[in-house]
Amino acid sequence: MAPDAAGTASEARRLLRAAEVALIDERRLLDADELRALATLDDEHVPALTALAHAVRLAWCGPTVEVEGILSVKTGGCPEDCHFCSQSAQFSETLPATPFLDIDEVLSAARETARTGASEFCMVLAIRGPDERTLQRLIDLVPVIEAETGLNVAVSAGILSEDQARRLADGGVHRYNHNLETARSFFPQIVTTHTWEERYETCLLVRRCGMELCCGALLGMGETLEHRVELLGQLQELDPTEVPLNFLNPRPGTPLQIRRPLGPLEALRWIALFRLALPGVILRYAGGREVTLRDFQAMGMTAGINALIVGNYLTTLGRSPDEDLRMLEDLQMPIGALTGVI
Amino acid sequence: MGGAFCRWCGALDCDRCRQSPYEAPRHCQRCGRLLRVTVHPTGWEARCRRCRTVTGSAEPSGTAPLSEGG
Repeated sequence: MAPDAAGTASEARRLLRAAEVALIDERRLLDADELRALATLDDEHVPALTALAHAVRLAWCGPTVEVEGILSVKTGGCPEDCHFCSQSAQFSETLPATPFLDIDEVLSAARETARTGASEFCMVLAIRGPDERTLQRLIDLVPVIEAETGLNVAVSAGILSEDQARRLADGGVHRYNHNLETARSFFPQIVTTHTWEERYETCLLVRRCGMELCCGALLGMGETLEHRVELLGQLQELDPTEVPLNFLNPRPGTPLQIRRPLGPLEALRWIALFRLALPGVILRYAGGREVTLRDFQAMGMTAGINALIVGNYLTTLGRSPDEDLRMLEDLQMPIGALTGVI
Repeated sequence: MGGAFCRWCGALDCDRCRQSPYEAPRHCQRCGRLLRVTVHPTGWEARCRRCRTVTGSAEPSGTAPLSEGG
């Protein structure tokens, strides 16, 4: 082996060992410098990185995997210009708007979700934020879904006021999703109709009003390694219960349609880094995993993931829930509801 | 009699688009118009408001056979 390669391997082992001590023995979070160093390890060290992330996940969260189903209850026609999203009304040939689904359609989807063994059902709306009618419909639906299915109900309805957040919390919403998507310094290249700070403020409101915060990321939009490390620091600061990890699946008609999906090895590296940065979080496989990871999907489950969306996504299709449930059975990972490490 | 419109790009007699198992159709095969698609956890339903057709799959994968009704 060449001296340089030996030196690199030795340095990689040292970095991985230092991270293991910090996260498992000392139970402290890694800082930006430590994460950056791990992010720049050569590809040949990705299996060691994922093995460490899996050990950290087991040490902090245990073996349980949380399963969730999601439903777009109001699709398309969104006034915002999130460049990755096919539901924006600002781009050419994106999805036609459909009205709020009726209660029977929502309940039917919740029952489908419950049959997969899921514990969480999330209603998602393509809106900037809810108007009074929309908010009241959501508040009316939550107890009905809970009573009919026994599922915890989550909502994703955009930017909230404090009064709206409080009413959703009082109405029984278990978890509220509001993604940062990307680092503060990269966000203006992806969204211009609202600011990263507006998203961050809603995330703080969600926590303050007593709902669990689900705050995710979307990788593959052209952000750099530095942007990703910056985002990890911002998520550490926000301390969400759940982080859904999405991979860009380029949508026709959107400004990001020409981007290529991440490669599977890079995706695995970043799954591991999200776990190492956020050791106690519910780290959920979300959109784009099928087209990004392809045959590597089970490997993500041993790289730090401990939750997944089963079945279809908001506007695209996922693989069969049976395939995911078989994967979990084969990995001997039990299914159950999770909550954040306090 | 013309050919069919592509479910994905809406072009007539398209031979460029390859069917992905992870995409619901976007265009009506009869008229090429954008469909209103509802995706739910284990299936999808697509409506063409011009042709008044409904296509759908109860399966989670788009590779499942289509059923069509008036």
